[in-house]
Amino acid sequence: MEISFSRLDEDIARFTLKDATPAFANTFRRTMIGEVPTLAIEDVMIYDNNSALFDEILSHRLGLIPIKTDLSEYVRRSECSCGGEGCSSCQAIFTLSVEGPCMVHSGDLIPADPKATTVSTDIPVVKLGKDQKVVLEARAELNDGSEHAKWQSTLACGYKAYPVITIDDNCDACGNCVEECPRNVLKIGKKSVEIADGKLEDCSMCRLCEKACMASGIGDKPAISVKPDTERFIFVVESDGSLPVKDIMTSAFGIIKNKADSLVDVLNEISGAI
Amino acid sequence: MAGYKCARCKQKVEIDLNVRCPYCGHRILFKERGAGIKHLKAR
Amino acid sequence: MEIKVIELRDDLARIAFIGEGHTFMNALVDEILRDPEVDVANYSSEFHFTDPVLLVTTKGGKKPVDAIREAAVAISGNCSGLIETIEKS
Repeated sequence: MEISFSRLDEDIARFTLKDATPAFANTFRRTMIGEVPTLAIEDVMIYDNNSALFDEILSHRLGLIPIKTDLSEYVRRSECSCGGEGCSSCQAIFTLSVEGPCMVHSGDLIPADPKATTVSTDIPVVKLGKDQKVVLEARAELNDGSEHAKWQSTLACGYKAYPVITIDDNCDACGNCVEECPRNVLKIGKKSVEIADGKLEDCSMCRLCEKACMASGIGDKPAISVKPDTERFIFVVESDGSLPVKDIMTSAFGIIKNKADSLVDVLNEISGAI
Repeated sequence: MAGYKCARCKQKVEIDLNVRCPYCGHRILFKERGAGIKHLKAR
Repeated sequence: MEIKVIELRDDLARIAFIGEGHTFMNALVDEILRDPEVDVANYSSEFHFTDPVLLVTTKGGKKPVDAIREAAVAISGNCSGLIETIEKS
């Protein structure tokens, strides 16, 4: 299997996964969404809140704020050496104390660990009127997206099969398909229709070009055909900022690998016992 | 018992039989927030 | 990973995977099926909160446990190769 990036930034990546199966591509996608751990606020201690929002709504909103995560520094609370009581290696503590009139933003959450800050400082949490006040302590912990969506590390994360467009010799370059294509993948060449430079990956495989070709009266079979390649996949992975995309991808593969390795170990034990 | 506060005269009020401020007779009372810390799950 | 062997014969294995879901099982089954000596490889869970049960049958004398192990090794190898290429780029 091979990965080639067409774009790799801090929080977005676009790449093709070659020589893979649809099952593996989907497992990779599901692991990135649901099993890569991040920090998110889980416990909220409210000392005072006379804002317009109920305590429950306020704490729910706090939970959804993305937090920068250093996976080497935090462990899950259930796997921590403190035994789940909560310590500095399984919890990141924030305090928030704001008096109105103003808007409370995610940047008002003051972290105890300077590395575990909120990704963005300007996410609105609640609007305070005159004499309104919010004082609370929030505790973030590590968990994964299959537990609750607030722990998802990715925003947009998906794939599509690589499009394979074949243009037969009997294409008369009438241009009907070029006009019909909603993503401008095609252009008119010298003898026949051609794929526009660098546009192939934009194809959504809607097959409007095939329909247009048939409508032009070419015969029983369209001169252009679009098929998905079941061994190549175009991925788009977007991070919420808590982890760089590269880390999300490597830890997703690491998680799959760990599962496979531990399965091998367990099976070795079993066949040793028989 | 949670405390209440009269909406008009801002006096502290206890409710026994009637929902009514004993000082000014106003019938709108606000429930005061308890002193304790409220522990919630952010879900 | 925790597994529970429900049934084990020379050409058949029925194993429950504790705490696993479609994410890993689907890739595993797909990888097992690439082996030409495997007859059936399939998983199912009665409800979506119950543990999936993997069923593997083989033909030609291959042990089903070996087929599962080889698939797991293949998945692990694929992942380590991909991690390497990501870290290089």
